[in-house]
Amino acid sequence: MEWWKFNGYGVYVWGSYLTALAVVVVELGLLRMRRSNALRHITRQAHEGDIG
Amino acid sequence: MNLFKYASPAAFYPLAGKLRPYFLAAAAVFVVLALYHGFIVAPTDAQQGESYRILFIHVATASLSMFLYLIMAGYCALGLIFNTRLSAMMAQAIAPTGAWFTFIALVTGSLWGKPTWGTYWVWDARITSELILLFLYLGFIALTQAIDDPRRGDRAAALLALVGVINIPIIYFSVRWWNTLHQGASITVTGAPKMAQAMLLALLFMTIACWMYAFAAVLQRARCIILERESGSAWVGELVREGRL
Repeated sequence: MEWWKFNGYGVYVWGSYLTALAVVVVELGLLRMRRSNALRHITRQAHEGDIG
Repeated sequence: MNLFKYASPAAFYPLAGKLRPYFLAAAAVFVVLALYHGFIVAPTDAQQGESYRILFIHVATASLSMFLYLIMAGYCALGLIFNTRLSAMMAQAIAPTGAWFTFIALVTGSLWGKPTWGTYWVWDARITSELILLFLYLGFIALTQAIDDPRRGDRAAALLALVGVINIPIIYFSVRWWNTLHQGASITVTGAPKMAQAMLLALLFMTIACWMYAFAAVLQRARCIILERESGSAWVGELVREGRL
């Protein structure tokens, strides 16, 4: 038996773990975007003198 | 060490930044251990065959989806009682990660259901209440963003989160209270686990990996929310000047 086929259940098993991986990649990507947006906003505020 | 100090966004922000990489590294280590035990070491299940390997990720994410909701509601209660700024920010930081974990639990459960039950979806009490949990998370996120005044949005969303706590025991006990297609728990606090040690180890490692990842994601989001909300404050200005953002 080829191990990665999981006896015919490979689509379900790999599908599950790849879904989880996709979610992690998307969430980390969104977080990175959100942080860079926040930093950009703060840097602009600092240049305009609107920051304490 | 005075832990109450970290209830202040100014003190919590650098702490979260320091802790986050450790949680992320721990998540990576434990996910490798979980996959090794779950895919290589754990034997084929006598009844379910190979499809049971989905349960390592399904059970870990489903349990976390409920725990994260309870933690989120706990922060909401703290925010309502003590009117602390960071509590509402932490609740908002937890909600999207909780929603993602609920989504994974539903998808992986569906992918396990097809080969096991012969269907991707059934309006079973456990599955339906888990879907309601996803809607509660989404409702919480939508409510915080729908109200312009952040403090009013925090309070409205906190009330929704606290009312929604009733759904957690419904999810957990649904398999006992109703005659459901979903099977009962294989691991309980009081009884011995009903699975082989290799399977139990894979599940344990995956659960720890999910917790570590959740902490890392929540801390990162909390840092973003703190920056967004406190952007005009003196301590953020100080961090900008020192280049420590």
